[in-house]
Amino acid sequence: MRTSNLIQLKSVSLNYGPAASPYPALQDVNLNVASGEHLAIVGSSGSGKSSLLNMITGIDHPTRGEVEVGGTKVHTLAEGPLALWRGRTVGIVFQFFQLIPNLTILENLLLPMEFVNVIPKAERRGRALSLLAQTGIEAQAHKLPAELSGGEQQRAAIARALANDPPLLVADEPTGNLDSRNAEKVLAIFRAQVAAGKTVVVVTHERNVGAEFGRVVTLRDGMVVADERSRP
Amino acid sequence: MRIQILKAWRDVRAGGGKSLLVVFALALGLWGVGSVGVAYRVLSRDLRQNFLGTVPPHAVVTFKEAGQIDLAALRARPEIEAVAWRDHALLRIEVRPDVWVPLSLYGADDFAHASIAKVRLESGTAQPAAGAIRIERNGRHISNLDTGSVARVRIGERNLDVPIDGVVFDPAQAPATQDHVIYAYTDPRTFAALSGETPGRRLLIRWKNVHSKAEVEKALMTLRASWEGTGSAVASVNVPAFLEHPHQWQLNLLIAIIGTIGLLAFLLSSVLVSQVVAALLAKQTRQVGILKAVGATRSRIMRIYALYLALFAVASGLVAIPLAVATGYRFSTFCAGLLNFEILTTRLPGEVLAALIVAALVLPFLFAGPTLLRAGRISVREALAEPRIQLRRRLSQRTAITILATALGVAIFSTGFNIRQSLFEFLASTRDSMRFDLQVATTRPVPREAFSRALAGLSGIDRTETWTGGKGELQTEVAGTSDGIGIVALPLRSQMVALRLVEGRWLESPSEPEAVLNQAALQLFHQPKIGQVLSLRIEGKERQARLVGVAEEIDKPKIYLAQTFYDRWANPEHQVNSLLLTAKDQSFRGVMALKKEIERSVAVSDLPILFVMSRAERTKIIADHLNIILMTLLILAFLVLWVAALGMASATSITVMERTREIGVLRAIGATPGRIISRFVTEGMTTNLAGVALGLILSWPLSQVASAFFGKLMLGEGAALRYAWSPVGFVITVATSIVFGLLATRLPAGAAVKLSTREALAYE
Repeated sequence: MRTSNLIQLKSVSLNYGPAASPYPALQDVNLNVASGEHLAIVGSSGSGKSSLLNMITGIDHPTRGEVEVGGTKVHTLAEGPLALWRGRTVGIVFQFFQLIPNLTILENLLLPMEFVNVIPKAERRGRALSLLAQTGIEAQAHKLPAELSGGEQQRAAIARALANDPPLLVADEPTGNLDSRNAEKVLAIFRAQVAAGKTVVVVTHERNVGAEFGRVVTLRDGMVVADERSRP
Repeated sequence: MRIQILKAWRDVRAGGGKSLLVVFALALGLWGVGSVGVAYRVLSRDLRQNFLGTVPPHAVVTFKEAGQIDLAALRARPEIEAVAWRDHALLRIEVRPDVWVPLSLYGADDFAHASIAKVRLESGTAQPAAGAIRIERNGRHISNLDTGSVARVRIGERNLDVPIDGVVFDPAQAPATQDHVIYAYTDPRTFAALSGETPGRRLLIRWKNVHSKAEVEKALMTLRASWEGTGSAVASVNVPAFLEHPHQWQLNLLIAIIGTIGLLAFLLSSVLVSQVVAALLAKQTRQVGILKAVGATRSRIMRIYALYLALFAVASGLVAIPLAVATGYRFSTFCAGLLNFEILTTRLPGEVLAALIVAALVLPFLFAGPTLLRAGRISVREALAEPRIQLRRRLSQRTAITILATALGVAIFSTGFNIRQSLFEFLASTRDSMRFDLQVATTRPVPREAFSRALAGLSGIDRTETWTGGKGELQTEVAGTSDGIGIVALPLRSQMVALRLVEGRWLESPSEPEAVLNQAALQLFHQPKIGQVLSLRIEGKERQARLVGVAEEIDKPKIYLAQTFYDRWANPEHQVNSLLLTAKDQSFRGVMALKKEIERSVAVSDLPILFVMSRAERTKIIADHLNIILMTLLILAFLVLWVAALGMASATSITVMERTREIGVLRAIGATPGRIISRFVTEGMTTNLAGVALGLILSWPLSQVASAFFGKLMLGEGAALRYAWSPVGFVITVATSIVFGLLATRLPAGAAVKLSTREALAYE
């Protein structure tokens, strides 16, 4: 069910390199994403997909333009408030899982809850175990990341991204390192999240994803060249 | 918070050897600084407390005649705290068969209940037996004497067997082991019998409310004026350094050395810690990015890594604090033994322990603070960026730091050797300045022929020369001067001495009175300038002599005058009190054999012998004063080099670790383990050699500054040790540095190539 725009990018440009000879990663991008959308950002390598995702998560700031997520002007936030906002609003899933290697899977889920403090202390452990159950790796809760397979690690990373119950889930090439069976499991989790009302934005280089996502935005050379919605 | 603590703890554990290295380096720095702190606190306080516990006099006044002062009346004066007679005579005592040393004998009424210059009885009865003496305990280290033994004492022209009925502790005296003197104490009657002098001539005085030597001198001037008004003639006065132990300079020097080198070891360990922590945090950079991505603010990140450092702090504190306390006390006990005082601070003061704990907790943050701040500031994008870019920057920074740390270690190690060489050359110069083999001194002037008579028939003597000397006064603006200042009157063209002059020239004018001061005299009398006319009071009359030179000499204050002027002023009978001679056989054995012959001859003569001493023994006395300093210097300098080598080893192992993937690539394209090792060793040794070269260059100005600094501490203001380059030190420094460097690069490289190509390529 789509409601108001959760994400609004207005004339966003991003340049890398020296000011004298900048390399444009994003050029005048305008993008609105409604709550509950299941969006894929596709494009070839260097097209600006990850840069766009970094704009939404506040990992990077635009050279020009505005980024508003959930009513917050992300590009205006200082480092500290930005981290807290990110912890509450966005769940991030990385291509290489990026779990903390010396903490168990359960502890990896509890850590963001400690940081953000939105989930009451008494409920944290139960919620973490429930998320692990939802992603199918409850049995691995007390293992270290290195003891899990790639697919299991990615599911743990998704569970961690959901730890603080954020309205927005973003994923950068979440299936890039997985075999097809595990990739399918990950995509199924995303579908379940959308069904539960969350907004999911996924960056992928795979072209044939139209059927999987409700909307596919295609980037080329830092510009939006296509914005297609599948029929409901 | 629980998970954050858990993370910090697991990160420390996951660091393995690197974490241990951080704890080790922190502990090393803390141990160095802590030991110095404990030793400083204990030594500086306890030497002073030992000394002050004796209630030392502010001034010593010797009257020409005995019994001229009404002691009760003097004691009743409101400004006087304490006064007492403490007569003194220099005799000689046989410490082993045919081995004699000076006997510094004190006579006083009741040592057990003295109110000034107290000594503590260690063995024997409370009241000394008539005719017996008690020796200072440190004298037992240079003699066979002890309670119950009977010593042969030279009394004027004869020898007398004197029983020793006790041992006392007098921390106000310079150690017998260093000055080669036996200090002894007896009652006035025995003193008179042994010395032949009437007691009641030498007075010790303490004033109330005086706080400096200048105030003492002023108070003494008032007192002296009143005495002179009543006709009490003062022979000499001595105002020692205000409430300062005679060997305080040695302690100051030791503390300066351990303090300086401790601080440098501390700096090097800080480099080591910051490098290892930087490497550990570098591995955490990506995690910092992840933590920020999942909601950690900068302060959260800082807290996690502060916790991480706090764990290192606690671990290193637990290791280093007990070690620092033990070492500090051990070093203090060692110094106390050498300087003959007792450790009174038996329980470590709370503030020292608190300072050590604070240092343990603060040090890691001080050392690794900048790294921690950088880690907190890094953005998510930078943290998750390609690590190779960061690695390149880190490598060049680390290489620069490694070169600097190695250079610092090498510079200090080399400087240690250079200062040692300077001291050796100083000793050699002292030895060379004495061109006699033996000196025979008497307690009072005697006719020159008395020496000839006593030594007639000794065939081993080649040349002789006689000197005169006495006590004089060098007039200053204030009344004070020194009882101990010796006037050495010697032939104008003496063949027996050639002191190195640091300023001016030696005595040469036959027509105008000239004087040469040694450095101690120069310092004591407020640095008069060359050319200045000095006003000397000799035998109660004022005489003038022009200062023409300053001689380098580690000895008591002395004024050198031409014998002709001294005889004209104070010695009309041309008596002498010192015979200097060269031996026909100048080998050590030859000189010592001649010394024994002389001892036997003077024992049966009527000469009032003070001492018979060889040049070698004189040099040994000076060397004994410097030995502890030389030892400490070298041990600490080696410690610094060792820390620098550890720093290098850690830097290399971190570099190798960070380039593990490169090792995998090299192996994948055909490089053998041997070739990879040699590549890393070559890189490491290039860095090492650059550090060694820079260190050797740095050691030159550092040695100059250090020689001047230590020379000033040892020889006084305005004096300096000459810079000397130590070839032995150079070879040892270069060889040690290269061996350390080789081990520091070869071992980590060897360990790295043990990984398989697959493991190396997968390394993150």
